[in-house]
Amino acid sequence: MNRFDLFFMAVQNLWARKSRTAFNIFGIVVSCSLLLLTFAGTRGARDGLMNLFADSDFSKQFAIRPGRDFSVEPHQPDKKHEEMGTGIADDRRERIREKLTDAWTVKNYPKTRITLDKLNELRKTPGLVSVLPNRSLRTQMTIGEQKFIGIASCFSSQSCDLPGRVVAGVAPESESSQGKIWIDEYRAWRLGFKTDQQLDDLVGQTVSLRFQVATAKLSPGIRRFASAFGISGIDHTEQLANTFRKLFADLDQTRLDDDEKETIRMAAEKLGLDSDVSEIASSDAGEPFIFRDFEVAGIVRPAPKTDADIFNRARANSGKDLLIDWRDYQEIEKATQPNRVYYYCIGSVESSDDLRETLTKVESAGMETISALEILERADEELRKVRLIVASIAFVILLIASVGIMNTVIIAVMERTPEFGIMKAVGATDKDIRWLMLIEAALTGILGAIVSLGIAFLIDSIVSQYARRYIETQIRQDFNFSIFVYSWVDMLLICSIAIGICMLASLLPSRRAAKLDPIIAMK
Amino acid sequence: MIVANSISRLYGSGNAQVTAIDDISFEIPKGEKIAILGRSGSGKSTLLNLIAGLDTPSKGTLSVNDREPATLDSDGKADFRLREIGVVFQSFQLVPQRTAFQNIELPLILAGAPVLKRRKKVRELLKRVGLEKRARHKPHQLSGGEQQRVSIARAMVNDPPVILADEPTGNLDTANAAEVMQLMLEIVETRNATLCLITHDESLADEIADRVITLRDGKLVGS
Repeated sequence: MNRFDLFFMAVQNLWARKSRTAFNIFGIVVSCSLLLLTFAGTRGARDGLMNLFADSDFSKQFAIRPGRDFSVEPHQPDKKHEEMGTGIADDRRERIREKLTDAWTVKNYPKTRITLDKLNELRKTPGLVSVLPNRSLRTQMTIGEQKFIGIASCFSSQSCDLPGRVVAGVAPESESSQGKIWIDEYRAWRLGFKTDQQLDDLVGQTVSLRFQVATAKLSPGIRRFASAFGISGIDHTEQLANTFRKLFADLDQTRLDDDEKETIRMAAEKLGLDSDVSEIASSDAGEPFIFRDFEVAGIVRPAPKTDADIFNRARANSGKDLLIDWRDYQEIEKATQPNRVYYYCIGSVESSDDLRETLTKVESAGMETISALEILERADEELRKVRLIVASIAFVILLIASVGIMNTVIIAVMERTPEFGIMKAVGATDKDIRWLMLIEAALTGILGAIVSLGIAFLIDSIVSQYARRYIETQIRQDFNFSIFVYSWVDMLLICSIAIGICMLASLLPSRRAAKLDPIIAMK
Repeated sequence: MIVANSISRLYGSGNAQVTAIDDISFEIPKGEKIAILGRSGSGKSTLLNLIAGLDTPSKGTLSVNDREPATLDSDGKADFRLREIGVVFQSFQLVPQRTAFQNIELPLILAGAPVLKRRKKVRELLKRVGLEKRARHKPHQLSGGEQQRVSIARAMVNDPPVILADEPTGNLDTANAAEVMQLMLEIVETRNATLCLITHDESLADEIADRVITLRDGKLVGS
C-alpha cells in the first residue's frame, strides 16, 4: 500500500468521522493557539518597547552615577568581614558574610567623585559624544530693567535636542554657541516678550547673569566623616560641618570637664574643622557673586513630552529657564564651585548601537550607569516570566488534550475493530494499519495546528485594536507597531507540537490495532 | 490447487480442549467448485479460515497454489490473502464508512494498484454486479442483496485464483439469494477460479458444486 493511498484513505476516514476529528482538534486548538498568542504577544511587547526605545532620544542617553572606586587601596585592609564565629547555620552565615562584605566595601572603598575634571576625563571615553552634569545653576538674569531668578542648564551642541525647538533666533552650533544663551519661550513671555516681533527683538540682546560663589571649603576630614555616615553631597556635608563648628564654638559653655573638652577639640582638629573656619574668612576676598554677559541667541520651546515617558530617567535639557553652552557652564562652575561633586550626569552616544559598549566602558571607569536598556532588560525578563508561566499552562492543557486524544483514539480503535479486521482479512498488513492510524493522527495534528493559527490570527485582529488604543492613551503618541509578532520558528514549533502530541497519543492504540486478530476483530 | 494433509484445529487446552477440525485431508484442483456441507458447529467456517490464512492448523499442512499460509509471517499472510484468496462473508463484512466503490477498491489499494487502473476495474465490476448507480452509496444505504454483491465484487477485484464463500446467501431472501449465487457462479466460471462454497443447504450444494465435502464434528464424512 503506497503512502499516497494511505494518506488519501486517512483523509477519507477523518472526513467520515467529522465529529470525533473536531473533538480531537478542539483540545489541540485551545492549547496551541494559547501558546502561539503567548509567544507572539510577548515578542510583540518586547519589540514594541524596543521600537519605542529606538524612536526616542533615550536610546542614546544614559545617567552616570558615582560608583565604588576599586582601584584605590582600601583604607583599612583588614579581613574582619571574613571572620565569623561558630555555631551559626550555614545559610545564615552566608547571608551575614555577604552583608559584612558589603559593609566592608562601603567602608573601605570610597565612591568615585564626579568632579569637573572627572567629567572631562569621562568625555574622552570612546563612543561618548557628551557628558553633561545633571545640575542646574541658580542665576539672576538682568535684561534692561527686568530681573529674575531662574535656573540655567547646560547643553552640548553635539547631543542636544535644541535645533528642533528653536522658535526664534538660531540653533546652537558647536563653534559659535559659547557666550550665548537660549531662553525658554514661557520665561520670555513672563518677562514681557510676548509677541513674535518682541521675541525676534530679544534675540541678539546682551544679558547679564549673576552666579553665587561658594564661600566654604570643606576639609577632607569632614568629607570623610560625612561619607562614613552615609551623608553624600557637598551641601549636606557643608550643613554637617557648620553644625559641628557651632558646637565646637560653644564648647566652653558646656559642663564637660577639661579632659572631655580636650578630646573633642582633638577630634575637631582631626576633622579639619578649624582650618575650614579660617578658610571661610579668607575665601574669594568677600565677593559673593560673579557676573557674566551673554548674547541671547534664540528662544526655545520645551522638549516635547509625548515621547515614551517610561524612558525619562535619562531626560535632560527640558523645562529649564535658560540654556547655556557646556563650556560656559564649566567656566562658571570653576569660578563659583571649584570643588563641586555631581550626584549624576547624563552621557550621550552617537548611535544607540554604541550604547551597551559605551556603558561598559564608563562602568569600567568606576561609574554606575542607568540607562533605558536596564528598563528594557527588566521588562524583557518580566516578559520571559509571563511567557514561561503561560507556556506552562498551555503545556498542561496540551498534556490533558493529549490524554484526551489518546482516550478517543483508544475508543476509536475499539469501535473500528471490525473495520481493521476486514482490512486485514482482505490483505492489509500490520504496517498498513499502523501507518493508517498514525497518518490520521498526524493529519489531526496538522488540522489542529492550522485551526490554531487561524484562531490565533482572529484573536489577534480583535485584541490588537483594543490593545493599540489602550497603549496609545497610555504613552500619548501613535503606536504603529504590531501587538503580536509571529515568527516562523514559533509557528513551526506549534505545528510540530500539535502533530507530535497527536502521533504520540496514537502510537499505542495504532500498535494495538495492527496486532488485532482478523477473525476476532470481524466478530 | 488446495491441498490439505491431515489438518486439525484444536482450541483451548486440557479438559476444555475443543477439536474444530479433526485430521482431515483433501485436494481441490484449480477451477473446481466445491461445496463444504455441514451443520452448525461442524467446522465449516474453521476450515474456510484455515484455507484463507486467517487461522493456522494445529496439526498437518495446508497449501494453496503451493503456498503454505501457516509458514508465513504476518505480512506474508496478508500478501497471501490479498493475492490468492477472495472471501465472500455471510454477513458481508463491508467497511461501514466507505462507499460501495471504496469497499471494492480496498484490495486494489492494498495491492498498490495505480489509481486509473483501480477506477477502471472497480467500475467494470460495479457494472458486472449491476451496482454502477450505487457506487457512492455506503453499506447502510444498500439492501442485503446489494451489499452481498459489493462483497462478491470485492472478493473478485484482485482476480484471486481461489474464492471462498461462507454461506453467501445466508442473510438473503430466496429471490436475492438465487440472483447473488448466479452472479457469483458466473464470475467464478468466467475467471476459471476455484470456488469453496460453505453451506448447510444440500440442494444448493448439489446444484452448483462439482464436488461436495461433508463435515461432521470436524471430521470429513463424505467427499
